Amino acid sequence: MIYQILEQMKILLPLFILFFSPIIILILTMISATHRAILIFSLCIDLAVFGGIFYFKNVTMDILNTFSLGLFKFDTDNSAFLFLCLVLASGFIIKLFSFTYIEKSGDKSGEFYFLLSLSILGASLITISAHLVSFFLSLELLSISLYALIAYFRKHSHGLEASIKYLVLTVSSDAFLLMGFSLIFAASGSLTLPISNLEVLLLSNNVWLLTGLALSLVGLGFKLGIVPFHVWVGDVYKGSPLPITMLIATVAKGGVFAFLIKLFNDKVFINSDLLVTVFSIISICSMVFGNFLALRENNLKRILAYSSIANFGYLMIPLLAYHNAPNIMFFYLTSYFAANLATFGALSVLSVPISGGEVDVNIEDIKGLAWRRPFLAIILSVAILSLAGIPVTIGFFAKFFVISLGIMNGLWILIGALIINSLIGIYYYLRVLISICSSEPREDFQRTSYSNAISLALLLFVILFFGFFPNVIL
Amino acid sequence: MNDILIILLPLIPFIGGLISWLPISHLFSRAISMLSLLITSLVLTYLFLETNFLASNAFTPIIFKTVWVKDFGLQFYLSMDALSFVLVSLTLILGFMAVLCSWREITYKVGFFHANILFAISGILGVFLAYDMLLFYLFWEVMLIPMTFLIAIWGHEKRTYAAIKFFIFTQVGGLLMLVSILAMYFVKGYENQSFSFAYETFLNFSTSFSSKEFSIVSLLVMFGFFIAFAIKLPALPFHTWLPDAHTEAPTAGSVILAGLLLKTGGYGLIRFVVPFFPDISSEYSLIFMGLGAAGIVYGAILALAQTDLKKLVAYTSVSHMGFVLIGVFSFKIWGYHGSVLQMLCHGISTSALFMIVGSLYRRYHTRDISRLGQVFTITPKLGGIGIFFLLASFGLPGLGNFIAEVLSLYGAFNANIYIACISSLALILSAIYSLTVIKKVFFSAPRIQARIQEGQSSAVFDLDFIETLSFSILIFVIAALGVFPAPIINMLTPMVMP
Repeated sequence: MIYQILEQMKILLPLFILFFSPIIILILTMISATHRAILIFSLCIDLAVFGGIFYFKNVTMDILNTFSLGLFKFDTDNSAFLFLCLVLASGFIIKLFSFTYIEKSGDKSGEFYFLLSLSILGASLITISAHLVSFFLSLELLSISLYALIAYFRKHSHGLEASIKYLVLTVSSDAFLLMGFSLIFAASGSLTLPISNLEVLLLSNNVWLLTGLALSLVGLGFKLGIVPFHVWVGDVYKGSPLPITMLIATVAKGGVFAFLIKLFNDKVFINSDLLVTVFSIISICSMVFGNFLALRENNLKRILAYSSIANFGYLMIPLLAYHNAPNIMFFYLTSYFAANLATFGALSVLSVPISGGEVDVNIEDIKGLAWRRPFLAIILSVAILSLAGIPVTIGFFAKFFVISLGIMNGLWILIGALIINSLIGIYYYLRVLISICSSEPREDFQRTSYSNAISLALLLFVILFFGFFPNVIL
Repeated sequence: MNDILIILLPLIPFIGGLISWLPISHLFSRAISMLSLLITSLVLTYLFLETNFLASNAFTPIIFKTVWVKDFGLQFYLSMDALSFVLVSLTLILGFMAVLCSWREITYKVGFFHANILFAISGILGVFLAYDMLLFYLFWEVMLIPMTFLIAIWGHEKRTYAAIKFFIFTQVGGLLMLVSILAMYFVKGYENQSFSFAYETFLNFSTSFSSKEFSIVSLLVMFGFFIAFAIKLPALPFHTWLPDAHTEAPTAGSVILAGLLLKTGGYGLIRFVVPFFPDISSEYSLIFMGLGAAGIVYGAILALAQTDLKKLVAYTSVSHMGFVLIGVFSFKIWGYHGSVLQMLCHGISTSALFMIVGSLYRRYHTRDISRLGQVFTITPKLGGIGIFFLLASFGLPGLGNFIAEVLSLYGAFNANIYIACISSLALILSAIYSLTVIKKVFFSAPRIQARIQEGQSSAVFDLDFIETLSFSILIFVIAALGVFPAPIINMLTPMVMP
């Protein structure tokens, strides 16, 4: 038995590294290591974990069962593993971007990386959780780090307000989540996912299970920012510092989405028409609200915030497909991550946190970027084209696969809504593109630093490469 | 060997575009554009010789096919048959013209300008050569973005509005086309148990099933395609983007827009709508011909009312492309030939007209008809060529447009007499607006005399070398097409639907 535990411990090693890295970062901060040293350390940790998790596949970790009364279970099947890789890769890139950001803002850096590592740890654990309690604990880990991170830079004008908004709404939605989980437990008798007698319960329209699922949808929907839980998105995106906006947009949402796939898997939708209807309505409303709210916006962060609402609306479509295709959802999420990271990354180069607070980037502020900083302009344009779904970018194939999946499953209304909303979306993306190329350029654009340049180039490569060869990921 | 060469056709302008983007010097970018177009033309000539048309009078298509994404049946499939060849040659000729006419006109960000022109040409070549439906859609989108930049950055006063309108209209059509392509892909995939986007899978799509639900589906799919191509053509209810886009674009942009982008609509109708849906198209052919006839008359009447010379030429484009519509949907051999010839000749003559307007704008800094006058007296070469192309565009016999219009009308007449009669009104109307313009702009004094600015001489220079060169090439082509259209007609005859 000791041998078995040791074996599983060995497989758990990457997770342990991830557990201990925040602590080591804190120790480094205490001994006043330089910012660069902390950054390089955390990047190395990331790479080590990334390499190590390839031993991780198809392992179910029940070892902690014996020690902690069955409260934890992690399951890394294929799709969870893919999402884990995605979260870790985004964490890596976010760290690269936050380096320059913190340098320019002049604040202390150590705690930032500590909290960032904790949040990425939380998000990674969310993606591989197969147990409701382990999910909840990881979610709390992620959220608490986020409260502090959003308000980290004290000189920013709206950071505290955004953080309080996020705190209050997270806590209230967590209440719903817990209630939902309890009801699911009451109905099915176990907290592990996949829920064993799911079909029976759904076919009999078991009230407890349906209410439980609905309440947990409230909690999860808030985290994803879908309608009607979308009200926080604009303000929190605008008020948080740019690397944290990146974190919320990609890692927080993506991780929770990975869990959503496990909770609401295809068996749920096959057996319950009510849930299909509910999700379809949420999806259509998210698409519509997200796109319409963005039409009037001039602040780039808010535009991206509302477009992320719409993107998660589009992402609900593969969820509803009977032949649930986690590959396609992973592909769409990759394109969403790459485009968002690239856009926010380009913005973080442009909006320098000065002593009075962060400079907000509006559409007028990027006029003529193409003439002064062509590299930055190309990346920003390609990322926006990917969000709009223009061919040659990964976003086109992502939308194409979603449309194909929808047609294969007969979700006509949803596909029609996707197409109409993509058209509406093109308008505000086009405004940004035209502003980038306008002929009266401003003179005071910032230069890109090396770390930013590396990550931006990497993202550009991802967006264009998978636009040509999507079969590599599929 | 041939298949590698056919890949080079869209590839060389693309690489040339990347190279000419480098900010080395203005002359460098312009020279690289000319060079890449020249190399592409050489490749095209070689491929033409390989098709054995001159020797055996039969045009064997050149094909390139590789697997791209296996799981979805996506192939990188290019094919050049007679129709594609004719339109590809038109693309290259007008590409040259675009580069030549912007030689003196564009001085701002010249590298990026030429890059956009070459990317647009590359996309258009891909559209004419693609035989895999998703690849066609990809090139359709690719040719759209550089065009939007061309209008938005180097255009005239209302350029942002015109660029956004152009983009949204074409994108709506493109997305409708995507949905139709996907619908056809899935239906055929389930039937054959193997999914593929290749062209041959979809031939005679609408006749392959006979159930009632299917006929509604194939009707919707056909309308998806038709609307996308009708927006591009432009057919009547969807034409409103054209006057703005053409007027506000720079000269080279108008040349590519009028000469090439409109033809992609016509090409799409001939290549996709008719072969995929033969029975539905012949059932609805009367409606489509009616749209064409209405467009012809509407465009001509609106052209009569214009005071902006460029907008007038834009409305004549709307009018002339109606002939393509009536030719294609007449389902007669001569109608088909007429529509393809109309695409060719209209491309040449309208591009020439836009270049004339560009030259006039360079000299007089106005496009307003009431301020332009006595052009023939002051600058005889410019005036003479302008008169020549205006006469060509309204269908003077001996020049290409006459043959094209007569053949389209002949086809329409055999299909439906009333449509042909209404469309023939265009001959009168186009004569009216062309001759009015000739009189007002080229012969009589301007109604509003231009005030001479301080320090600006009122001397106006006649055509310089580059303009003369470009116009001479166009005059030669259109005169040749007018007198000797037989080779093209012989090339196209084997392709006609019986």
